[in-house]
Amino acid sequence: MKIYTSVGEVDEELLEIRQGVEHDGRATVEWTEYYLRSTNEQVRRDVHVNLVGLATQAVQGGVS
Amino acid sequence: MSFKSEALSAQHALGSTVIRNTTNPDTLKGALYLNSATVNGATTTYSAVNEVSGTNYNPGGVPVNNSTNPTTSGSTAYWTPSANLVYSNVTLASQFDCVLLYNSTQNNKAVAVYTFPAQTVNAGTLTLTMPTNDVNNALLRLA
Repeated sequence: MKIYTSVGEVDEELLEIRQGVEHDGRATVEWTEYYLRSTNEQVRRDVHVNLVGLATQAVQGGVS
Repeated sequence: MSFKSEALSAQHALGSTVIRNTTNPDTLKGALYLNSATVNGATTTYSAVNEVSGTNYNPGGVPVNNSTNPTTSGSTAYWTPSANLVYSNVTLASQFDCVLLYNSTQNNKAVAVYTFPAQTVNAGTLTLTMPTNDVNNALLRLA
């Protein structure tokens, strides 16, 4: 399968995929990074943010 | 109690200055900001200052799917966009850590700010996934 990257479409087998999760008490973020196996250059990074709802009494960023 | 959700739907106009004259829903948008920006509960309108920039990111951000009606459970009104916010095939090389929802129909007035751990995107897709639209998890809750 071809993956769209910063250097064009690349065969998935040529890529190393790294995944991670971050959480700082606000929202959880899941990311996926793609690196060229030949050079270890990062050529793609996708991010999923699981937004957390705001209530007016418990403002994070804030409701205007 | 229905007043809060009705207020979110602009069914009430209190005071002597009524500025609304439409039955059409407003257009909301989601703009991303650098982690060096100060965007918080004191933010009153969308600004391009310290907004992210990069390949395939349009200033002002993306439209918010606004087809879900606000509703009320107990004394809490709540609302969640009816689809995730998706920024496709973007490269955002500088770290960003918040999204501002704002009303582009009403002079870009701010609605809410949502923060998250600082991120970058490289030739990829940023998806802001919406929480469950219920009284305990909805994206916007007026308790």
